[in-house]
Amino acid sequence: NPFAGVVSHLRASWLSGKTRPMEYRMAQLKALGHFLDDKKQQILEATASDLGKPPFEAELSEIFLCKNELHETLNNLSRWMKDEHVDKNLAMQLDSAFIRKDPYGVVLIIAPWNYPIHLFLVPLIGAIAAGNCPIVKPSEVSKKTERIVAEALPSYLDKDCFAVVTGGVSETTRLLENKFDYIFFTGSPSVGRIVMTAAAKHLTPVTLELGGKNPCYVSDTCDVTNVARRVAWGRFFNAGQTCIAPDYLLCTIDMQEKLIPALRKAIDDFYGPNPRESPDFGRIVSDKQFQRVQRLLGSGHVAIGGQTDEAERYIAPTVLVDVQPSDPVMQEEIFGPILPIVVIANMDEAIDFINARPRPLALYAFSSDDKVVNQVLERTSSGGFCGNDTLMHMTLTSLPFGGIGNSGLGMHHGKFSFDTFSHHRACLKRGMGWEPLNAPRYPPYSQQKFGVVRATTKVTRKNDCTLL
Amino acid sequence: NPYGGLVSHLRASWLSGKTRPMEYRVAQLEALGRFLDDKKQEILEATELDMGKPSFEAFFSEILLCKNELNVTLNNLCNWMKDEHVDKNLVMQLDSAFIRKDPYGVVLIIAPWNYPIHLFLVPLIGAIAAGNCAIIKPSEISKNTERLVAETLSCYLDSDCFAVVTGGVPETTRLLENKFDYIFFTGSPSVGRIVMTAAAKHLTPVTLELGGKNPCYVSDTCDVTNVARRVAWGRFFNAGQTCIAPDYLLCTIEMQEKLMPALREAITEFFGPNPRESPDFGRIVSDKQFRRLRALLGSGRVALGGQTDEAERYIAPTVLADVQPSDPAMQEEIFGPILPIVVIANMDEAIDFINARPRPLALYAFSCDSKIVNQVLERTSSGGFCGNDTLMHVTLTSLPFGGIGNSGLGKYHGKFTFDTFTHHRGCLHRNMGLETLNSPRYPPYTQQKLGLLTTTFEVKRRGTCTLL
Repeated sequence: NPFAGVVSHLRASWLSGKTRPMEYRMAQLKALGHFLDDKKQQILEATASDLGKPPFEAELSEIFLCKNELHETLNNLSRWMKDEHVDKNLAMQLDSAFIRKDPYGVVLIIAPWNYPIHLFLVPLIGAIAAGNCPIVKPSEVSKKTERIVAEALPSYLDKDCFAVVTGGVSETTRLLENKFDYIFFTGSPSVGRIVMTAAAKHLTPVTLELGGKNPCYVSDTCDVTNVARRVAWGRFFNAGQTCIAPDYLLCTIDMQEKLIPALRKAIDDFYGPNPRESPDFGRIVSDKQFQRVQRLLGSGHVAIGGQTDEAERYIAPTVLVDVQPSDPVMQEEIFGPILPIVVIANMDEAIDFINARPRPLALYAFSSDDKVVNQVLERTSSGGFCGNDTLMHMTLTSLPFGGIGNSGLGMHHGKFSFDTFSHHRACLKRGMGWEPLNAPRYPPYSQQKFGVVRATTKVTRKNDCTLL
Repeated sequence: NPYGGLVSHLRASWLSGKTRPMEYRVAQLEALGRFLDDKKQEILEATELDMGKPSFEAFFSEILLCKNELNVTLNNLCNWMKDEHVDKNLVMQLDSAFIRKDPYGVVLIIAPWNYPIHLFLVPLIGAIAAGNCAIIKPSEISKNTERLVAETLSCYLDSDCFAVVTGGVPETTRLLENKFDYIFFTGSPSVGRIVMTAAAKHLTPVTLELGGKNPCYVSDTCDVTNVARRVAWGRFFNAGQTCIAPDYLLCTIEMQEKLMPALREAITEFFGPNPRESPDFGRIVSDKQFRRLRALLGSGRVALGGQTDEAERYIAPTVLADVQPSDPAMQEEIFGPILPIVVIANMDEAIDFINARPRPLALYAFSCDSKIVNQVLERTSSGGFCGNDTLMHVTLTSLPFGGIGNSGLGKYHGKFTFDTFTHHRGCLHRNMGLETLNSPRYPPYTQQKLGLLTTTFEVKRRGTCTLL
């Protein structure tokens, strides 16, 4: 077991209580901030090299959003850590009843390649804030970023309580043989199953941030120009390699006719007439992914884009029309800069289409009519939802981010990350005396005693209230 | 797949939206209340037949505590169901950002035999309150209660949305082949692993309420009489068949000397000189469990009790002294009316003993000195904790009830049950217009645009605050 040493070293540190004081956690979190500041340029260069990530996008997702989460946590940690006192019944008025926020212990964070800093660092913030000792396993696919994480990050954090493990599938499999106290995994549903099965052997709780096909319904009543811009932005950001990107569009044939020119204009506004020459459009991360995404271009017809360059792993911002549900592009999460349009007759058909498929991580609905947006929200199920825009719901630290069904389980961001990595321990502290208060519960049992027990512990039904 | 039809029937009902309106859920919950009222006598009789459960205990755990949970839920459901509006950043001031409480869908609740009504009904309350359809799998070991639930519960609940499945290990294994949207399991850690492994195939989120050996530390400074009564009560309630019962005592040799007569006094006070004749002391649920427990009587030496009667499945309230860590009574969760005492030198040794073992569902510490209680709490990890009493922390609906590590994952009771069976869906509803607000995020990217974005989205670091 090649990783047993690392795991037991961290477990010993955790048992020593080193990570418990708030000052320790704040110091580690601030060090994470210094890492982001000091290594910003290297991070921008590494992600540009790994997947052609435009520096603007990298600065936004890998630095800025992470610093927001850091600040949110640093601003609130002392409150989040405090014991939460709870309502007591009559019998316990003299007692102390509260929820203690305990760390889990040694936690494992496995991150993917598409937002390679963000997707380990944001969970890491929560893990450290909650007092755990984390092991981070960055993706081997985003190689340059992996090297920064493995070589630079440990010097910022306490090596007794933090480690980076690198490697591919075989190393991760060996790593997962160890007992962790929490596992946080971001990646595909198929690997999610493997991780949860490994976790089950040790009864390790997990959060799985997975994926799927995020539907984007566009109703007939909308501002076509704005919709096209917002959808194009969400689809083509990071060359489509975003777990919450709008994966496919659902609209009527009339709306499709209007959207195509609007999408063409938006793509042109964003990337110019030849997106391959734009510094603001990314590339596919690997040859394997490039080949996979390129094959999907055969579905339906190319209405916009469609050009590719294997040497650069470039796939043009592409819109496909006449796409059938049975086409290859509708069989897997696209994770690339291709937007298929599936024509439906009306909103009800769109909703049925969505509900017949695995529950997505994100669901989008565009309409000038609030009722339409609300109906789509009401009648579907998804990890998160955004009306009249794409991606934006994940930028608010006050909203939980997580999947449902095939798209995952658990949630994080903001306080939800802290809560994810905390064990909420119910605590009751009673007095050593006051024994007569306990007398009614002891045998020999009697009706009278039961009456007293009931009177002091019962919760009565209050009057009805109406749901506003 | 013998249960495929049932599961898809419930799934169809759930997709129809039938369980969504608050009125529907309230009606089902009120029907559950009527079940408890109408069938109270049958429940007392069934549990008495199944494990000699004294009526007082059955009334308390199977009826009263369940009605408390029902009332807390009915009193608060409309608040819990509401969308939770969240803090927004500058850019989203005109948007609507909230957490929508969505049901998971079709959930499975698997219950054990020791509190056979309570341990399916309390989770069921949360499942219904959260808008799910549920399949209940009561324990086949508590046969009379199983029959009662299978035959009568369906008369009270909507059979389109709720079903009871009966059977043993093979039936449960077949049942687990189906895809559920949530699985709530109460039982042993070994079966918990099997359930989580089955859940992993479908990426089904789980709550596992498991068990282990709950340590009970008694310091040298305490009121020995009160401690003996509170510990004896917790250990011998339901003839010891309680997942949160104090499993073993840790104390100094001097305290053991003092505790023994006090425990003898408490047992005599509770159950009389011959507990076998007391109507207030239970029996072991099955011959298999009885034989398992009888074998543990060989550990250390019997200081109190030790008598057994196989025909009645009676095991006397028993205290074992001079127990070694390697003894059989210290190798498994006792789950019977046997209290071993393990002698340690001091509190530090007790804490080390506890921390060297799997994390328990409950942890108890008795001391007149609150600093000692606090130290034990601080330096250990457990599902829940109670200072100076046993069992009582689970009677407060405002405290979360759940394990950690081997004793489980997830939590419930009160609002925590509702939250367990609810998907917290992050929702953002934006305006179709106001497109100029979005322009800084679009390519072509510029430093100026980045500056604008960071200004409007930034979470700033506030001045430091001290942890009180």
